[in-house]
Amino acid sequence: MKPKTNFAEKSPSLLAWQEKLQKEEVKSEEIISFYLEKIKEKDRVLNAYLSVNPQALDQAREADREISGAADKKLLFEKKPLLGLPLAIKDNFCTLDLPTTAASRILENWQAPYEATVVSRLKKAGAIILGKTNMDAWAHGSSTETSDFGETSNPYDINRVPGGSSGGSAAAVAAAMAPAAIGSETAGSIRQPAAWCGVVGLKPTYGRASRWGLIAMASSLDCPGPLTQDVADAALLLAIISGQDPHDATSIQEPSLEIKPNPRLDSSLTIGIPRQYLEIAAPEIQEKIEKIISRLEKEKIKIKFISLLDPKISMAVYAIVQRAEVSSNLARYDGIRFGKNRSFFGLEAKRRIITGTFVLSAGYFDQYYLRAQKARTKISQNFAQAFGEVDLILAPTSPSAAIEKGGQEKEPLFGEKQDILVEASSLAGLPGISLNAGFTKEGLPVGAQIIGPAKSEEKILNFACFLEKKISEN
Amino acid sequence: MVQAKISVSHLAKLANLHLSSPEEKLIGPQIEEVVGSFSVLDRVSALEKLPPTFQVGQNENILRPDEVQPSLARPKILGKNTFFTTKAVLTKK
Repeated sequence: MKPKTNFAEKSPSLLAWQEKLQKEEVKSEEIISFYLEKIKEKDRVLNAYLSVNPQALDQAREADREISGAADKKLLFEKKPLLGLPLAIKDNFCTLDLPTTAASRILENWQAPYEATVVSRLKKAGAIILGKTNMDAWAHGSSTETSDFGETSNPYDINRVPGGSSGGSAAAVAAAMAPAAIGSETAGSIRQPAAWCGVVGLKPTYGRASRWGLIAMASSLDCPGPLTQDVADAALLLAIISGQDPHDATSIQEPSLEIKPNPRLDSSLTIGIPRQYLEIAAPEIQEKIEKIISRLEKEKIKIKFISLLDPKISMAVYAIVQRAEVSSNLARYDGIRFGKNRSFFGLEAKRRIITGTFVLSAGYFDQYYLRAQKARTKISQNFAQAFGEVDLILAPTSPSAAIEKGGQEKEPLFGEKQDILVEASSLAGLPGISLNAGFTKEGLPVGAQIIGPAKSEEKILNFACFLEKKISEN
Repeated sequence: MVQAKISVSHLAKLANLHLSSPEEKLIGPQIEEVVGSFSVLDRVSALEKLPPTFQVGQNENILRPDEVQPSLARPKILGKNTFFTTKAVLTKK
């Protein structure tokens, strides 16, 4: 008999659990126990978690007392929509009760003295942190193989990678080891693992969710966001984590985004399909996107093929900007104030720091870094032009489905190559969502992404909700 | 774009990193390959005339009011000590 390789499993969504809790059909303690059991059963194989919260059950009992004691349960859940509900958090968000390592040896067992805004907002909404999830060390990668604490496996095929860097978060959600999770994206780190693990991944507009307490990778790009089982849960979590934060001067000066995604189609929409993005994708991925396009045409939605800047240009711009910011942000890890010394950096971090140091060094700054930032302007202009003609852009999230383990080490631009279809929109700070568009013949999930103009989360979530419904009807 | 000469050992020194000899041998050609791929920027038309985009947000001069706010509690950070203890940075020769 062949050994089991598929550990994927659905579990109730946050909103489904919330309804049951509100009606007192289930206790938070039972929900938490359900996921802790799954973690116990599967995480030896998947390695999606770096730490599990030993207080989770106590916190669940406390939530149960709060629910049973409330006279108006509806009002209670309006105030605390995540009361008693479990969430997994990527290990680059600072937490007070659990270590924060960014999957790096340097921060092994490090206990943060403060909490990320995203985490405190989720806790204020009643969420219980199940644990901290594995990732590429310092978020450097797209496979979760650069984690200093062992790779995560893809729940659909454990011989393959889950994508990254939020690979642990995506795998946990895909394997019913959490109903939903929080990840972070610099360029692709939410959408690509979501695509490869068959879940929903939302990367909001840059600045929509606070970066305070998120271990910095490339500060002009980093963006927290949810990984969930459906679009409605993504909107629920966005409402909680979004909103201006005085601790983050780059956060958008607007209140939180309360969106209830509507699956009803807005027939006035024009959807743009970037030809180059389709051409880069593998034939099986192209087929899935083309299938969606023909379904949209049947619904009388206007489809327009558009031409965007060659994604290879965005890849170079991203590699330069990100590595420059990485070299600067990681300069603080000197082993003096906290964490271990710089000899503990892994190979990928060293590669990125050295390339970043090079593009910022005297004599090369203008030639590489400055020119990349100028090309970044071109990328933004290119999107502005496209959004003059179309409302939203639909494209594959990744050129392929999940790949086999072991590809990362030999390839110095591995991460950037896997994220080639999401880098341009990240450089422009645009919001995007990846959702499951079906499966390959081998049974691997395929992701489709929707990209919109800055601050168009509502439009994106409504269209994603419609698309999710249409895809599930098939 | 002219391909730059890259000295990995010099860059490692600038970045305060120690590379082992096998690491240096591995990383050197890889970084040259990566930097070589940046020549694709030459294909962006009228690149030099564009202004750089250092940040995509619209925020400027975001400052909070100059008021004292609660911060981390001293005993929580220092424990029973009254100062931080770190490893020695300077050593006698």
